[in-house]
Amino acid sequence: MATDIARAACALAGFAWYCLAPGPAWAAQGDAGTPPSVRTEGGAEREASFDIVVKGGRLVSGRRVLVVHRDDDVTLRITSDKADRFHLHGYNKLIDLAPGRTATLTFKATLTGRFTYELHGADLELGALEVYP
Amino acid sequence: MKNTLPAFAAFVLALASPAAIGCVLGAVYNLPIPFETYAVGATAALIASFVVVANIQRVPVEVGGRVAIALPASGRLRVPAGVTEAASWFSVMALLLSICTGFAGSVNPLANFNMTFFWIVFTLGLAYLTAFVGNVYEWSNPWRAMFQTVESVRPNLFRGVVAYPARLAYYPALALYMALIWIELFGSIRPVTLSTLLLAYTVINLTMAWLFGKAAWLRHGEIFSVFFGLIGRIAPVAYRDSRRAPGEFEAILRKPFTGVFEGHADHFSLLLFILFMLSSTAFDGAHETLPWVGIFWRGLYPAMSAHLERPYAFWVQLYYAWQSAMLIVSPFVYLALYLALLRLAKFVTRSELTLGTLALRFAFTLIPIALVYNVAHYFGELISQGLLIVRMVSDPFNMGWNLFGTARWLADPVVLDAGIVWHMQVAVILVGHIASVYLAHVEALKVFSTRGRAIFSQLPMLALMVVLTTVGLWILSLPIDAGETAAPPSAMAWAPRAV
Repeated sequence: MATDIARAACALAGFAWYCLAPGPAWAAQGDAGTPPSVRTEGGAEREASFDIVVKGGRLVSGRRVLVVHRDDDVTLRITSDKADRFHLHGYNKLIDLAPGRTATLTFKATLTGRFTYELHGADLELGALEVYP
Repeated sequence: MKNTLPAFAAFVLALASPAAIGCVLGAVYNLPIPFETYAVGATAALIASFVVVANIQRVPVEVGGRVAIALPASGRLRVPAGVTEAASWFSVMALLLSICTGFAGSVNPLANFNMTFFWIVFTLGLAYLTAFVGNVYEWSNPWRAMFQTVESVRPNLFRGVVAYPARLAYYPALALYMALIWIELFGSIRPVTLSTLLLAYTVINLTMAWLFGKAAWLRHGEIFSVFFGLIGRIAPVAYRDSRRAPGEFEAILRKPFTGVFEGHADHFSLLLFILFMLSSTAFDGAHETLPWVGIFWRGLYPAMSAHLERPYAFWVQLYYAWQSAMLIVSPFVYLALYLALLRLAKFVTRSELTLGTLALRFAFTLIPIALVYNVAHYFGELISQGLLIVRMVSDPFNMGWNLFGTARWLADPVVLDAGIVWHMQVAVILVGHIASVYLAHVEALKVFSTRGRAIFSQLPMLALMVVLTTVGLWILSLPIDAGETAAPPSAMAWAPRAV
């Protein structure tokens, strides 16, 4: 019994190492998303900009899930055909939208995770921003 | 009973709009784990399984056919009646506060005390706590406390009018649990709806306890007694009524996970309940992912709409009906897998026990995997939303109070780093996997008595656990859909209005 426990402990320790070891390369990217639309190569900081266009209560600009990486400079250009208020969760970014006028939201993606964004007035969930480490 | 459940379901359906989707309170979700993390996790699960099976070839310290469960220096701690009474009062107060804040507090689900307290602190936080400190709910159950309080005025009111029908078994708890998860995923409920449901559930509990007796109802029908009771089996502490003084319990220390060997699942419906713990979490993780959503919108929808002329709204309704049906079907998918592999184990070992008996004997070994599925999916929500309870208790009615001086704490949500979340998800799933493999292995050594047979019998059980773990990890790695494919414009009932 004692040796059984010792062996089980070895197995546990092995995978504890795996869990606690600093994230190696495989934790960095994955193929879960597509690269952001604009990116300057070479430097640590990258830029990612997206157009979000809403017409008649629907998202008409293509992609709903926006994929960026940590510390990217993110620009969201939001256009709605009706006056509304845009909200990005987690980052808690709010911006008022005038009909037909493009509002621009710029921020550094410091938090990693998946954050939904929506229009408050139309009560419309538009999509999600995924920030990968 | 027969009339109550459909009536309750109809009531729930009437309250909830069908056009809603999404996790309760889930504004900040976990990222899908990268493929490499998933692959490494699944491989580690496989290796760990073989290590366990290869190294443990005897039932650990068997005493008279039973696994020794008490710790060598096992102690019995007294839980005085004062403690259990205080805990009961606290939980009754929390229940009443949850009901009141739903009617009188903020209409914003993310800001109301009752949503965060019930869905996050109670159903997630207490479940995880139970795995460590034992089933404290046994002596702090608010509905049990109500029965006792009422009986102090009207003695023997909850002794039962009729005997509990044996064939009902745990089906009432299972049906109510399915209703609860359906409401969580598709109910788009608001604080006021939650309060109404809690009131309705209180009425159900009081009625059923009067009809069948409180002990029978708490054992077979009250969702959380069954749910926390199952999770409590893997805790290193068990509680027993001390029978010395009313309300006094004693805490018995034991090795972690060994509570699984204290008895077996006594009915098929309890096995289904455990499988639903597994499958409902898996379904919640999968039901908004691109591959799953695609089955309906890229597979079924084009095929059906080519033959059937209907407005888009019809297909959206059908989509929600399909999602609900899949939730209810999900435990039976797991059941089919479980029975198929047990059948194989029975064939390999030429066991004379029936498949039904084997299915019940191995049922509790699934509890660790069921729990870690849940932790991996929801602990992010426990952190980002659950911690906000600290500020909500200071101002539960959203009136600008600051009762405990904590009303301004945590102004920004706590968002865990995605890398940490991924590692924790894989880590907890592997811990649960190893525990389940170990428990199933020991159970097999007991059930299939000769050693050689037990080793053979391990291969199907091992396959079962590896499949469950890999599926759990795989679901966590799937890309998640967003926006209106899954949710038509009217579906965002959850949008906070004034954050």
